[in-house]
Amino acid sequence: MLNWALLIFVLFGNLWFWYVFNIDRYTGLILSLASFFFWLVINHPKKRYFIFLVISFFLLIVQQWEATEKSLLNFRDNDDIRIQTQRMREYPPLNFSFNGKTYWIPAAYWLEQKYDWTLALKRLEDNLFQNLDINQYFFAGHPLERWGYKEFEKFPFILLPFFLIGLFNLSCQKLINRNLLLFLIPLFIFTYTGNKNVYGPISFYPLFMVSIYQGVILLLKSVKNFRPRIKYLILLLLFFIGSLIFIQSIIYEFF
Amino acid sequence: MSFFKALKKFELFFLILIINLGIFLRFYNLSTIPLGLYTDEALFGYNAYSILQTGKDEYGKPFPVFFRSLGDYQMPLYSYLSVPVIYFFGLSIFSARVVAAISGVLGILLIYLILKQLPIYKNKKIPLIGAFLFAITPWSIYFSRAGFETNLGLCMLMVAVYLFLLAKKSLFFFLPACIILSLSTYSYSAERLIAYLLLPLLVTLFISREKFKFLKQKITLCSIFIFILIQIPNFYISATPAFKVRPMALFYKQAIDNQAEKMSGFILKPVSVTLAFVREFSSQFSAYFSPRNLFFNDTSERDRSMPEQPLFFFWLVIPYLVGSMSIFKNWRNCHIQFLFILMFVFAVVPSLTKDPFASSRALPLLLPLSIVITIGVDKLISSGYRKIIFMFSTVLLIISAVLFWRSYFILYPNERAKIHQYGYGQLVEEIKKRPDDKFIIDQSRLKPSYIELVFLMKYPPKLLQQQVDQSIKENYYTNINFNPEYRFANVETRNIQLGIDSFTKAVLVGDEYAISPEQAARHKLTKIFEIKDPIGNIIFQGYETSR
Repeated sequence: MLNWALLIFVLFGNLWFWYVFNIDRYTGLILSLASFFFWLVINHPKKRYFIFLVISFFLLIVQQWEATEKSLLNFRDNDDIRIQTQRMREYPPLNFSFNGKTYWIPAAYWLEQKYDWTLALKRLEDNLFQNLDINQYFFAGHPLERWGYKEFEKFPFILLPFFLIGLFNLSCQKLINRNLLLFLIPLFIFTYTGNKNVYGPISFYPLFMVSIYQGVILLLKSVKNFRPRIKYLILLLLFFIGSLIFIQSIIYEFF
Repeated sequence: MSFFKALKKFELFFLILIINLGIFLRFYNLSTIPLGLYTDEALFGYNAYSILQTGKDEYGKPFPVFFRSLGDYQMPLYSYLSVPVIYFFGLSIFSARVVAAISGVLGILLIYLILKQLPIYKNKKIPLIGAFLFAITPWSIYFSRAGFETNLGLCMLMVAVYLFLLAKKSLFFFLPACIILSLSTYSYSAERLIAYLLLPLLVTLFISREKFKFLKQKITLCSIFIFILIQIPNFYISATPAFKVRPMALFYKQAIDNQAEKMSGFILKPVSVTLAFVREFSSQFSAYFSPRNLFFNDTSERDRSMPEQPLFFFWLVIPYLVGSMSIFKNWRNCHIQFLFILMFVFAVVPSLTKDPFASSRALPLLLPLSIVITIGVDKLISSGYRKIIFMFSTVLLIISAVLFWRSYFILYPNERAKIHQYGYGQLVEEIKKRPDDKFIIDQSRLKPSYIELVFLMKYPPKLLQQQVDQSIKENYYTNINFNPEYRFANVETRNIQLGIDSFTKAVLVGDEYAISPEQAARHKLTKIFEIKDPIGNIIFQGYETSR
């Protein structure tokens, strides 16, 4: 009973879910299903739950893909072209001599122009590390908000320690570890396409949800053997502080 | 057993090779890259020169505890350590940077020694790998190649950490550890708080292992006493505005007030202020461990970063994540707890400042993060895919080396020259060409120019001391207001007033916005020189008046 209550609280008790649900209820539904099936697979590992998970997770990735503004990795706007032209001039002439002959090294061309690989690499890194930035999920990107993106509150920051503990706990369990590899798929996909979409990185929502759930469960287990008074005091305090922080998140988002 | 006997010969050979690589990366073209002379470098260098020549700082204060500088009261150790350097090499850009470069090289040896004392890895070559990664880390190289006191602070913290680790085996080392930790508070502002947080936490860790037997030892009490003794100058200054001016300017009080204001209609003010502070602090704290900020972003501090070069090479995110999981797994290990203490304390200080990711203030984090990455490397090497990992890392290393060369030796000198105060060397040449002309350097948008000019002109400190406001000496630690208007040699630094200055015989110098072509025409000014940075941005324009 407690587990179900906790699941509902973690699944629906954050701004991110309602933000997505508000924009598109269908996406919100897929989000909740994928998260629920991921929770099921972790807590009750059965083959049919895994199949449901794969289907709902696939649909979730498709929703994020559809909503994402895709751009070529080596696309250059006017400012990029200006910088490229300027940088081509910054390189000194490089050469070496061998056997009496001088060989010129076209470093500027290789590094700034040919295949635009340095620009593409920079964009790939940018896309990858945006998804790995913990502040994006718990502090709306603060203090380094991304330029050109609408940052919004996702999870209240009080859930960050629970997320870290829960994720760590999940990754230590070998069986579950394999399920976590599922999230490499959207990580690779959206490293390539970029992350500009209205929903945020919703493909990772199930991971966050289940990790936070695990973290809360671990906390409850750890206080289980405390004296009742102390146990209830800790839980009451956490509930009180958590509520205040949740209200804070709402105020920051809507006021 | 002596240090050298304890080392296997090949390990010593590779260590020397790595240190030589570190020396090359930190000393190669030190006086020309970065281009220009940053204000802080000029302040440290010139005050050291002044101490050497007169025993007083630029304001005439004999051997100050803090250097007043621009009213921000810099820590003194960097300047004092630069005195012998300037004695041997003379006042130059090179001599202003040498202390930071030497600190960077020492850091390579220190991380090797620290890793040797931490038995938290399987592979015996890990200390060498850790030293190698430290030697090539862009974050370390960057701060070793400019006169930033933060690198000296890091070096001293690393020495203290190493001595604390030795103290676990022999309590004798606790004394020098406390001495170095206490002295580090005079190297950089952040270390003042770091030392006060670190010492009690490390003592607590010792007590938890050794119980109270540790505290009863005479050497422990003596060490803590000496730590406090060395802090007396800090205590003396703490009652003055000089102690608080920098921290108060950096704290995010305004952000907290704005956030609390948003919540004031719903939550009581004391609660809303507390919540706002906790959120701001937590967001800043977690930003210092975020892979995005460590392995991707060139930081938001454009004067403390390289174009398109993050603090660590991007592919080190994998050992970073692996290492992080590993240390969480072994959190009960006392050495891992030691590492946690370092990470916590070193991240607390920059988390209290308003800059979104202050790579200079967070430089002490380079130590524990390098250790975490090295632990991750150890885990990967031990995973059984050694050959594949070796192959991939070699390829990635080559790519990173090329990209680092591009970023630091090509893009950085060109694109950040203006930010690094390039142009003053050429301006001094123009001043020397016209010794009879009065030069008025506009201060409305430029950082205080006087210090760059007196440094590059090697202006006699005794004369400068006579020309500053003499009351500053008397109220050295209480008068925090800084006036950028100076008059020395044939130079005046102040805001240009075209309506008055165009009627005197002078050369008016300012940035590209100081005097527009229309104003020049109206006031009959003749442009006599223009100083540009390597990519063609105007840094200074010099106009001669017609009178």
